Amino acid sequence: MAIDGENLRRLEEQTRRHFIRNCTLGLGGLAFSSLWTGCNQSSGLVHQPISSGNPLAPRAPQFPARVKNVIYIHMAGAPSQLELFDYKPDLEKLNGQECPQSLLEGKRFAFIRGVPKMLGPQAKFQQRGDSGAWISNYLPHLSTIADELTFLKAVQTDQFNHAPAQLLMHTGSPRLGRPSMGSWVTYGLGTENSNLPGFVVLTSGGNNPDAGKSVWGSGFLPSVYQGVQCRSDGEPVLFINNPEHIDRNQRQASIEALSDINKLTYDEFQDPEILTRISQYELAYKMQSTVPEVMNISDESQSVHEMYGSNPNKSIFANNALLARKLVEKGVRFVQLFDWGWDTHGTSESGSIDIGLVNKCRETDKAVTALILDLKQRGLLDETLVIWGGEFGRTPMQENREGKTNSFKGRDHHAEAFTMWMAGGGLKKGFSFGETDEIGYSGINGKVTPHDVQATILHLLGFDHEQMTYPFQGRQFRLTDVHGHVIKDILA
Amino acid sequence: MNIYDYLGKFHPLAVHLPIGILVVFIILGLFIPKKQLLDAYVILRLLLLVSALSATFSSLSGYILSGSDSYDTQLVSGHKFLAIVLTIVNWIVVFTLNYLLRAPSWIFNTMLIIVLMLLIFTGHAGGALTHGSDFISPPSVRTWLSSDSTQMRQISMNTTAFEATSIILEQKCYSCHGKNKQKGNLRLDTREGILNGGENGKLIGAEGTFVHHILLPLDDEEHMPPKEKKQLLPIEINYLVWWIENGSDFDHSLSTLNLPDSLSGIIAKEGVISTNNQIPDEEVQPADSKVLENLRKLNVIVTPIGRNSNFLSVRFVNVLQDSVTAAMDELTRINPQLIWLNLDDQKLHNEDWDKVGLLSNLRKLSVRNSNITDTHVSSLLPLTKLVSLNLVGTAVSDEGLIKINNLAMLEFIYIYQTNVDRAGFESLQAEFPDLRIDSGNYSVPIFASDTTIFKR
Repeated sequence: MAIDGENLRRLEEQTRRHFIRNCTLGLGGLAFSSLWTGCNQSSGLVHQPISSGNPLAPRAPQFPARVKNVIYIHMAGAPSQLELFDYKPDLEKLNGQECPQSLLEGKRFAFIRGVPKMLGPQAKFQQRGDSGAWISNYLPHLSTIADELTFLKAVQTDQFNHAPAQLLMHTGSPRLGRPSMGSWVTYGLGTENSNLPGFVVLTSGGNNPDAGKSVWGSGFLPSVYQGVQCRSDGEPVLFINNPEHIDRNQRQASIEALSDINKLTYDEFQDPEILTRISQYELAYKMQSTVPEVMNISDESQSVHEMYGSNPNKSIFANNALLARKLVEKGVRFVQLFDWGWDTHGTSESGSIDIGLVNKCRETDKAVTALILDLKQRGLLDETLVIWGGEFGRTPMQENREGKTNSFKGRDHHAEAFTMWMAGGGLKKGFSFGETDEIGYSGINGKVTPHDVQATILHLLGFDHEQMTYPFQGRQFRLTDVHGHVIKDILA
Repeated sequence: MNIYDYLGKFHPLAVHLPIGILVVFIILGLFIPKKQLLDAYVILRLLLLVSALSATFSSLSGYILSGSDSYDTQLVSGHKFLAIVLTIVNWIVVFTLNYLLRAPSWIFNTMLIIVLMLLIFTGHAGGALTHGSDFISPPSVRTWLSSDSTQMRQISMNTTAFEATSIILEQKCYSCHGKNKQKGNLRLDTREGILNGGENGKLIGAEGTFVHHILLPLDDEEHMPPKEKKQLLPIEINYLVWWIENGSDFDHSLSTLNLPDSLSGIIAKEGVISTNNQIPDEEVQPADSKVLENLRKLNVIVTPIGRNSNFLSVRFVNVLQDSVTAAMDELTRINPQLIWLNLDDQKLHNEDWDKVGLLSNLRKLSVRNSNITDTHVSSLLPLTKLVSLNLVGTAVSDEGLIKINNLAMLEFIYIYQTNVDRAGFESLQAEFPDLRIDSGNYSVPIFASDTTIFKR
């Protein structure tokens, strides 16, 4: 009775006048909505039909793109910007002095407790190339191509632990569950080579990144867009070989039969995961022959191996750098390289900024440099974007774990300022953007965030990051969430 | 520095106290009825007294500062005069406040306006001294409206040597040796200033010290610009040294002075790749959808270059060898729309290469690792709109390369791993000085550090 009474009251509120007013205004509103485009009527990617049957079919970007491919080199663990790119002579003068309270108040660090001491730069710096970019003697090869690079000197993140910071950098959110950048890009553009995955991940350094495989996961996007991790020794992709006693023809016949059944199910339920399943079976079949071919670097000439420092018999970063070039050349859209071991706290020899970091630099410097020059001489650098960076920076203070000085020189995680660089099409070459204070503690101008970097990458690929969306749990999601500005200052 | 000079340093700090108090006073005077102000007479008078005292201190410290540093004398005297008047007016108000508050409104309001005007003009003159007189002048409307606000002057080969020099000096030197400040009595923004030098003697010529100062190591006290200021880039230093050592000519252009190649880095570079030239200005009709459907059936990747464009980009990566001919036939039917074509790794028949020559709207063509030969290059000659040509990994040699000399729009050509030798490269470059020819073969030499493993 009470409910009926409530309903009656509500119905009585709607008088005839209300009805007429709603009719007129409502009609006007309908007419208006077609004159003005609203939020959900963007020319963007909203509900882009993937019903053509192949979710990876190549699609046009929103506007003509400056680059077609991306190679993202992530130095997992976070390299020290103060030893590589951000030269701070004043920090040298403060070496060994106690850190002023003003820098510690209200701040949280992963391991620093109490009052740490300042630690001067351990590397020798020099201005390189015509552009005069500061690069230290830890990276002698990269120094020779300084004029090809575009530096972001004041990147700022808000996460100071590895896993969340890596997730923020690659998925736009420090928590699990969002699609990674490579997934968004393959969702938007598809991929050109139908015999290879559109998004390939290669790891080196002995470990996967701390955030695990979520940094190349597809989140709520159809799982066909997740990164395919290729192993650098043994079989590159697991489980694509035929089972014993089954030959390629039988395999083909069974996959075709499966696809037909799956298509029937898709027609009935319209679940995009069924399309994913169909295309994954077909791709796996095609990859049986193409992947071993493209992943085999032993056919490359000796001069190429000398250039990269690669060695087919080992499992090293240089091999992955060479593979990145081969994959992009063959039409893979997004290649993600992770190299583990850059977390230089100073708790061990390999994790120190004056020993371990030098060795990590040596392992990667030549290959990164070779990758850029090799892309350039093949005419690929103009249509490829190479990005280099970690998940955060390192403190200008020496780490004092639990209040005690560490046995080696090292720096703690630092979210406020670090350096990344990019190279490739559509960028101002030999250009540095942003600046940090005298000790490299925080950015003083040209500060950018991971969301800004992501917006810029999407922009170069021909997308407005605000319009590349996917509906999930009742709202449109995007890589940059509600943040991000294209860093126009670095665009050519 | 004695204690007296040291007091001068507090001038920029001290001035803001009287400014703040006087602004509050003006606001109160304008918005609070005088009757209520009279009730707060004691508070107001105390405030004004503090303001008058601090204004007096500011004037004194300002007087000391003006003697210790080299500023534009005209700006300084204006600022000094206004500041002294303002201080005197402030004292007068302190002693006549009681009268002013009881006097007719117009007298009180006139006083407020006089104080306001004095404040604005004194402050402006002071700001012009520290930040430069054009610091807050608004940008022209055009730059305001356009998105990139930095309108930097750029050096080209036609720039005169003096102009080029001043573009460099403007960013790194004028703030201390310019119109408003002349540290060491040196002014670098005029010809006379550069010719006359400063109190440490001549800049250029036999006894010139300019080169000496910029080449000193960063840590040297006499190094210019000072360590904490923005430094000259290596290329800029090299240019300035070249300019001074070659007689510091003021009037001739860089090209007449034969700017050495090693210094060409100071010339402003164009953008990396001008995509604009790779996309025609005028839109076309959409391509025939039936042709596009046929192409897709042949596994040809056809994508519009953008969703708002009818121009097409085509890639052959998935095309099977026996459908290449059919695909090439279809391509000729979308000629008006087709602007970017990628034939990497393809083996085309001779007649198929001829069909490429029919695609007259192509802006970008990549035939990397394809079977193109010198003979086939002839069929590319009708592609007069071509901007970028990628021949990497093909059998093309000097003979083929020299044929492309009627491709007037060509900006980029990649010839790594071809049979082109040094002679062919040089003759093409001589013919097209602006063409960017990338012959590749970059090496990454082995450094000793590459094999040194660091240990404790």
